[in-house]
Amino acid sequence: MKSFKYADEKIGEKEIMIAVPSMVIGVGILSLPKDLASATVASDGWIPLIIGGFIAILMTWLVAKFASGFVNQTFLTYASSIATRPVAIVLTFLFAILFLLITAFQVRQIADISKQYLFDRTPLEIISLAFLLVVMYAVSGSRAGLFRLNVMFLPIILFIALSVFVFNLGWFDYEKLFPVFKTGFNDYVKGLNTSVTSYLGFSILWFYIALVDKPKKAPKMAAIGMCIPVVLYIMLYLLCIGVFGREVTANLLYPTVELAKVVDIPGGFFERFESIFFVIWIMAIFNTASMALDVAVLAINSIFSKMLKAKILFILVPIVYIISMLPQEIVEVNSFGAAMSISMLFYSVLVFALLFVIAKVRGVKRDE
Amino acid sequence: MNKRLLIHLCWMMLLLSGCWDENDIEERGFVIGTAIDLVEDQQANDNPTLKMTNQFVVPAGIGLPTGAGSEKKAFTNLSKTGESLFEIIRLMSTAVGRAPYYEHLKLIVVSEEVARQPDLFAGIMDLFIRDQEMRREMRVVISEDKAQKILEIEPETENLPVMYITNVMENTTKLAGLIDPARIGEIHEHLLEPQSYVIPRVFSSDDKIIFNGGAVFHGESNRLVGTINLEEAAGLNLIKNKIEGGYFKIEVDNKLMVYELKRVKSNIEINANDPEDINIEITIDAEGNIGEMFGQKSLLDKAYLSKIERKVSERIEQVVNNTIKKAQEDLKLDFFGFSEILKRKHYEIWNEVKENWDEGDNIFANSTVKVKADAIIRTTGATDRVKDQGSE
Amino acid sequence: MVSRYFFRKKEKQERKNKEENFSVKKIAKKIENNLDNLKEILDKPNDLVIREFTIKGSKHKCAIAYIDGMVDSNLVHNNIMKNVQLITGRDSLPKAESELFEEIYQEILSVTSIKKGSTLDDISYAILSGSTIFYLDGIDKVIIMDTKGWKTRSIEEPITETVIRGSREGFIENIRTNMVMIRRYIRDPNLRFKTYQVGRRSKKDLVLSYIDGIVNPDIVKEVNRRLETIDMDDAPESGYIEEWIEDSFLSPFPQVLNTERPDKVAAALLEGKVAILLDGTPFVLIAPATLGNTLQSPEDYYERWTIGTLLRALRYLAAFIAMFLPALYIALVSFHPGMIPSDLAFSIAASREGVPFPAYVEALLMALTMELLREAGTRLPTPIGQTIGIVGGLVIGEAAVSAGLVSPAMVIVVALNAIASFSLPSYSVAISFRILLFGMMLAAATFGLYGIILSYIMLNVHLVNLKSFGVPYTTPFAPNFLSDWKDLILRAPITTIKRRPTYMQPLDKKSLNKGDS
Repeated sequence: MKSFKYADEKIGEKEIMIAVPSMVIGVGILSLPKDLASATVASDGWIPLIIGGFIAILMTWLVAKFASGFVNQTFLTYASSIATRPVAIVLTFLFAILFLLITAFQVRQIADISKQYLFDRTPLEIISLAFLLVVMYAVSGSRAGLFRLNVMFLPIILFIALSVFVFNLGWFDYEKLFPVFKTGFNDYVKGLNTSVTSYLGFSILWFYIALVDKPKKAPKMAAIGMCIPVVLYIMLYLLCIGVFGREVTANLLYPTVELAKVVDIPGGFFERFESIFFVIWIMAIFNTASMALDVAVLAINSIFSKMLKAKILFILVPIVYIISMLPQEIVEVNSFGAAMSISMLFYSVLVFALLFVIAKVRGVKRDE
Repeated sequence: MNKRLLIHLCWMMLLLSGCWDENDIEERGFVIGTAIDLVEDQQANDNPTLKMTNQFVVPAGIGLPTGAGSEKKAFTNLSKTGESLFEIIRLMSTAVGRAPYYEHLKLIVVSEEVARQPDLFAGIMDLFIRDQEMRREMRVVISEDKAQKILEIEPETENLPVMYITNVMENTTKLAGLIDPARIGEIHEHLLEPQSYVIPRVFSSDDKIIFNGGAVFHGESNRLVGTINLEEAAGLNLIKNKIEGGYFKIEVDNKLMVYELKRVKSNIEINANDPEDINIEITIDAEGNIGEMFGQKSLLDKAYLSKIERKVSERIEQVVNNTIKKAQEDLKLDFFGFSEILKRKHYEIWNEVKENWDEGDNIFANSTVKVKADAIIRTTGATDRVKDQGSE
Repeated sequence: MVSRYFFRKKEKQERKNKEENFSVKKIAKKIENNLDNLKEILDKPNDLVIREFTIKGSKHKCAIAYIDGMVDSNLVHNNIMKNVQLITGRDSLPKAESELFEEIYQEILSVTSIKKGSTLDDISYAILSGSTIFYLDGIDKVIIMDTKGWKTRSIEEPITETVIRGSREGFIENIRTNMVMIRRYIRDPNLRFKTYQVGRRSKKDLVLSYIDGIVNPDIVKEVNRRLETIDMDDAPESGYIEEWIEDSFLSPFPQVLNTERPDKVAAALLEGKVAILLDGTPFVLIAPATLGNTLQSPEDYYERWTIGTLLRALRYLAAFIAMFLPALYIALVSFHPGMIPSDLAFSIAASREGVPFPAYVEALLMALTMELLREAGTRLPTPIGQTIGIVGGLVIGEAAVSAGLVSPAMVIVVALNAIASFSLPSYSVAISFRILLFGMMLAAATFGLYGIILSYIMLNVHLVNLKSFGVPYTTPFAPNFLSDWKDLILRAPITTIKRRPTYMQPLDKKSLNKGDS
């Protein structure tokens, strides 16, 4: 049946460039300005954002470069050739768990934010379940389809973000950005922590690079893709500060959505732009959640290669649902998210360092 | 196979889930304005008792193009009392057939009495900021007497009093002394920051709404501590660069003349080298034209024109100085946002003085404020002079 | 899926073998037997004409047989009967039957399309497709002459796809004429027509058409493979073929386009697609199809590009309205009235005052009514159909509003929706969109905007997994081919569209300026 070459099981480098920002942009940015603003003075949050962005781009490039050295090998394969197979299985399994946690977090967040901006009485459980089922439907389809979804949705997401930006320029007061560079060093570090964890998403490259048909170009493309969220985050952050001022930004639960609340479309059919903004943003969250779940399925599938994808999915989805329903209130959700992203960050760095050092020591050949 | 099962699952979910939030538009009671008053006869309670008046839209009264139901009034006001607004809102739901719905709330009127109570204003605003049904564009005004009266205005041009009031508010460009209506979003900023601020003040008379200067709120305690009149408000607007239009009456050679403001640009320089003696320099560049004149002299005369310009400048300086005097001597409060500029431009000094800026040592009251205005006349209107009594 | 096709093919092969064993009946030498056999197979129908005669000056018995009405009788009279009967003009007649037969075949019969047949199967198929059979006594062969000449409808303007500017020609039921029309558009020697026979009983002609050197051979191979699996009694319309060869029968989206317009087919062929013509229907299938194709009309290219672009963009808007408008109305009115501007919200509330149903029931009612009206309008003869439209649209709408059953706003929404969905260029696409509309309304009635966006995401998931003959349905959106965007939502000036669609992966990539690099 493979009659017409559309490289369905392979990914082009263009798709990788789109997949990275699609993975990064999710619920994080909705509350990011709040966390940053509470750590820094006035608009100084952009410095940790830019440094964090630089670190993220570098990490993206490194991971992609490292993984692309093993052409068409899954993470499990090359990890076991570097370390041993048992170690590789443990590493893969931990990745799968972390990605499941990411999915669960997104699923939970979408319900929480929907309750803020769209619903009043609809139960949290139902909102989450509906979303999770759609994610499951997407993951059950072809992997190429998932990347095509990214390609379809990312422009819409960037467009809506841009329109929030444009419509808000009228409220933008550049004086609110001052004074600059008044934050203490410790606060910068605190802000950096927030900003780096918000750029998490390059970890998908551990798994997806194996599917790229021309891995040579992939590191560069992935790094370019990473630039999109960096620029977007800085823009939105400065906009938040310029419109609300630092104090208010630090006190709003989801400053980025509130930005949309300020928007007043001239002669518009719609009022309450924030609902539209959030509804569109669901696509971004969907992209993140579906890719995270897909990577988890991919990871588990590489360990239990005999199991059907659908079967794995049917086992994983209830687990994700249960995890997402565990936190009781917003504080717990937030600390769950924070713990998850920090462990993801450290784990990614750890795996990279581990594999890189062992590969160098043992002299494992990478086919350049 | 699995995919098909999934699709079915999704559909079944949709069918089973029912419609929790489904509530048809005509079954909602649209609240478009709310007024908050203090109840007179305080019981032996620590917390003040509040009275909340909501203005509900009666859609049938708005009338269709067919003219059906036009005899009905388009709105109805409903009041309830209680200690917390949330409680009142819930009580109110039991009293009306339609569940109150606040997403179209446009105006919050708070009476001066309420605003003067310690900590009450912030507490009231909290609900309107916290609740997701509310918009950030809601306007807040302070009413001189009972706030409820504002909602009881029966305007001739509009069906709904609140719509009338918000429309009037849009006309702030016509008068220099009208303070920009405060959006709840701005109030949120004010509440979070320690600066003092000004909210427009209104009263009603003859089914009309009259804007009368502003109410000055103390930044730390968020309570109303004083009021400014229209002219002082004009001074405030001039300093804060918020004038989009307006006029000044001046007398040149004993003849009345009206200078219409077109563009004003103010610039504030703070010289804070010595925290004990802070110099604030305000330069105001105004641009405008002659709106009306009662004299006969030709305006094309350069000397005469610069004389008028000088007069206008003097007048502007006088207005601004009055306002500053009021702030420094009467209220001893910086409601101009000087401290914010200090923070932005001289962060270290601001850190030193912020405790004692407009309280404690009150550095603000003791600082020197210099005002310099420079007005120019761009055009003289379509004509040089209307009356000509021959050459002088 | 693959295995299903595979098995079907195998089965068919077996069955074919069986049939052959059964029906390969050779022709007898005696003419009487042959004629009896023929009559027996067809059960002596009264439109079967058998003319027995002898050649003048000889004792050779001959016969011609054809079905009345299916042949061109002038041709039979002048070029066959006359020639054979007046054979005596010649000096000598060969005595041997086989020589005579050969001479008649070579020299006497002046029909261009002529062949010999030796089985009864050949004869019955030929005679039923309008050929004339010539029998000669003592020979176990017959001569089959193509004398098709039945009445066909004349070429008319296609009713389903009218354009303001452009060719007025539409396909008709005769496949030969249709092929001629395509040939007239593309006089390229590489234009290929590959003939199949479909229908175990009906044995209809089906023609696969493509341009060699443009089309990607993999597509032809795939279409060919699928066409060969077709095994059914009859294919009365190309819709049967479409359902048989499409990728996913669960999808509401058409994965094969159909058209009545030769110019559209020609353009598709030049883009590297294939066309499937079936005898007996004016609707020609075009494959592969993409989402973008469903919203294209030939007229986009016939008007100047600014107009074409406007029309295109308008159609995308129409597609959006056709799918989402009532759902959005339900979501806004029942779930998020805060999103409607205050004044509008109050007047909608006023107009809904006294309407007994919730918005989604109201919308469902009106949309169903709309469907009924559409269906009634299509089935009735044109003048009555129009009357129904007026009665339904105006009278029922007006009466329903004044009776307080529905609100005026709802009537506007449903009417706008209907207009939008029928401004889509193809009827089958429009209907597909209307099916989805009901799903959207249901989702909106349950979850409001959240339901709409989830359904939209689900729809996209379905679309990206959908393929039409190996071509992803959502291309050139995703997989993204930026150069194809010139002819997608916009229609760039023709001089700038230098390449055939990349997503079709044609062999000959350039359509303009072939000379330069």
